[in-house]
Amino acid sequence: MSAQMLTFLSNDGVEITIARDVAERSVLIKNMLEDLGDTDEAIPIPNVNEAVLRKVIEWCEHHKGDPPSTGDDDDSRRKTTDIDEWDQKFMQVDQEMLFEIILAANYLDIKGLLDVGCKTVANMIKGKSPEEIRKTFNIQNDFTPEEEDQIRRENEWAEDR
Amino acid sequence: MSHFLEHLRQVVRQARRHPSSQRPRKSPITSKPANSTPAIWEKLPVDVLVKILVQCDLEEIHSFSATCRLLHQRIYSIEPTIAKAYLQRRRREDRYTAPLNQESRIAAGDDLTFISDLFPPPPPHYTPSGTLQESPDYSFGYLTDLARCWRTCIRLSFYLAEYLVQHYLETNSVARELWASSKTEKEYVYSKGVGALQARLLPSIAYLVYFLESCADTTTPTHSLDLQERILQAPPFTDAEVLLSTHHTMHTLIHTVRHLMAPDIPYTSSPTWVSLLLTTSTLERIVDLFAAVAADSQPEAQTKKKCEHNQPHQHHDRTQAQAHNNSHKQPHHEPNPSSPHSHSHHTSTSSSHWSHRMDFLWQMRRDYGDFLASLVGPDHHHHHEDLDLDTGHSRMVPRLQAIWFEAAEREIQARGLGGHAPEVVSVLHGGGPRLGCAVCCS
Repeated sequence: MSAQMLTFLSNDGVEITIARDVAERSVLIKNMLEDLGDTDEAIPIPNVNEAVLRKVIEWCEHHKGDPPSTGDDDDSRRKTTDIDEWDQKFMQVDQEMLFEIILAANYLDIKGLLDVGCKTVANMIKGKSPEEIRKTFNIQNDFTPEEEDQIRRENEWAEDR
Repeated sequence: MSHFLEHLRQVVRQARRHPSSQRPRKSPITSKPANSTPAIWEKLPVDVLVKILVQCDLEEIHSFSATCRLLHQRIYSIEPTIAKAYLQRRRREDRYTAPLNQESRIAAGDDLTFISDLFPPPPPHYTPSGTLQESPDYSFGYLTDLARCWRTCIRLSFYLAEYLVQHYLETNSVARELWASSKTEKEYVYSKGVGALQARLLPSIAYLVYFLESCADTTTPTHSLDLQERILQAPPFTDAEVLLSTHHTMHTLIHTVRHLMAPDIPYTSSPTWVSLLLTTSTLERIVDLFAAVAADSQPEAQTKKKCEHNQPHQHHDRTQAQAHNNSHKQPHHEPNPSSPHSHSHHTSTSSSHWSHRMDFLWQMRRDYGDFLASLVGPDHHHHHEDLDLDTGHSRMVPRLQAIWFEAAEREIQARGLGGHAPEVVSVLHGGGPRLGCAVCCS
């Protein structure tokens, strides 16, 4: 028996057809399909553009056989460095795309993808000084010297180790 | 008299490191963020930001919040949420499993389950607008104290376990022979023994920290016998096993510490020094002593120290003991001339070895001077009536027996537990270091 196919419409107007079991990695879509029943019409995904939606689908297709998420935070308790090799390569994208994937995973409620995205960003922060983090994420330092001094004093607890 | 005790209590509290209850609340930076910060950091939902940050260490969260106004303000506004999620992530589902459980997927040092059960977050407080918070006061300061306390417990339990296992293998006649004849599994036996003993000691050491902190956090005079008995009559000490195992650990710990101080500080005069360490920093300075002794056992450290021994004044701040010592941020002063042991510093410097351990003891003498100076104020001179004629130390330092021991022994007798037996932690063929107390060993 062939898999049921569903069509989705990205926010830039592109239709993408995928198997239902792949689409149901998204809890949002799964719940929506349960509420709406079968549909032949394209389902709009208003917050996600075509490029990001294709990346999200690529991830869902690769992980379609994974056991469903338990819903708690248990899966993400593994060490931050524990990112599957395929996922690590998948996440080798520019920062704009990385954050778009995270936002899409959050909107579509795809816990596994959200975890991988957040771990990837956390790894970009880990072990870095404020200046190094600024460089990594292209953040400008807009503190006045007085504010920097205040932060340093207030955060002495973090250095007092 | 009550004024004096209150003053003592205040000094003791000040000597502790920034307990979260006394850490000043942060004030927000209200200036408008520049538009230069990438927009994604503004539109990232709170739960996603929290999910990212809880995977970082506290120091990294601090670094992240110190990058720009926008992130500082966002993190400031959700600090309790991040702190709560951070702790949640570092707790095991099965909280009743003993700490150092090898099965746990959280590393022992990151597993804050046990210590956060012992030290829950401060209760909800009133906000500046006068409303009562809905949940306990989770904050980065609380988490820092928790992590630091747990690290102290892990380090101390490890050092003490190492010392006791080594001492047992070297001094017990049966073990010494078996150990000497063992050819292949020495390292395995030793590591397994240290691991087993550390697992036994770790919760007890955390209970001791809890006891010492509880003594210091109350409004009644520090180390009053009544107060201590009340603490021992409440959880976790209502459990007879917890009371006895903690008592055995305290007994063994203090006995070991006094041995480590000798011969520079004779066994008979060390109680006051140990009492000073316990009073001013609970167990953190005691960890420093063990760390100093461990550093001395490294061959290269010995050689280096020999080279440095003529200049202890310039070098003592750079020792490993000092690197681990976070509790002494006060400016350094000369040793108190009234200290009966201050002469031995000079004796030590003239010997051929200047060790980390000696550094520690020398610093401890300076702490004593600082402690007394902070008690009586800079313009006040010590009077002879302030000194204990037997020990030559100030009466302002509580007697060692008056910290834990008297209260615990009374409680043990009151509950009819006097007939208990010492514990033996198996290291080699069923034998191992014995953990006991004055009651069960007498």
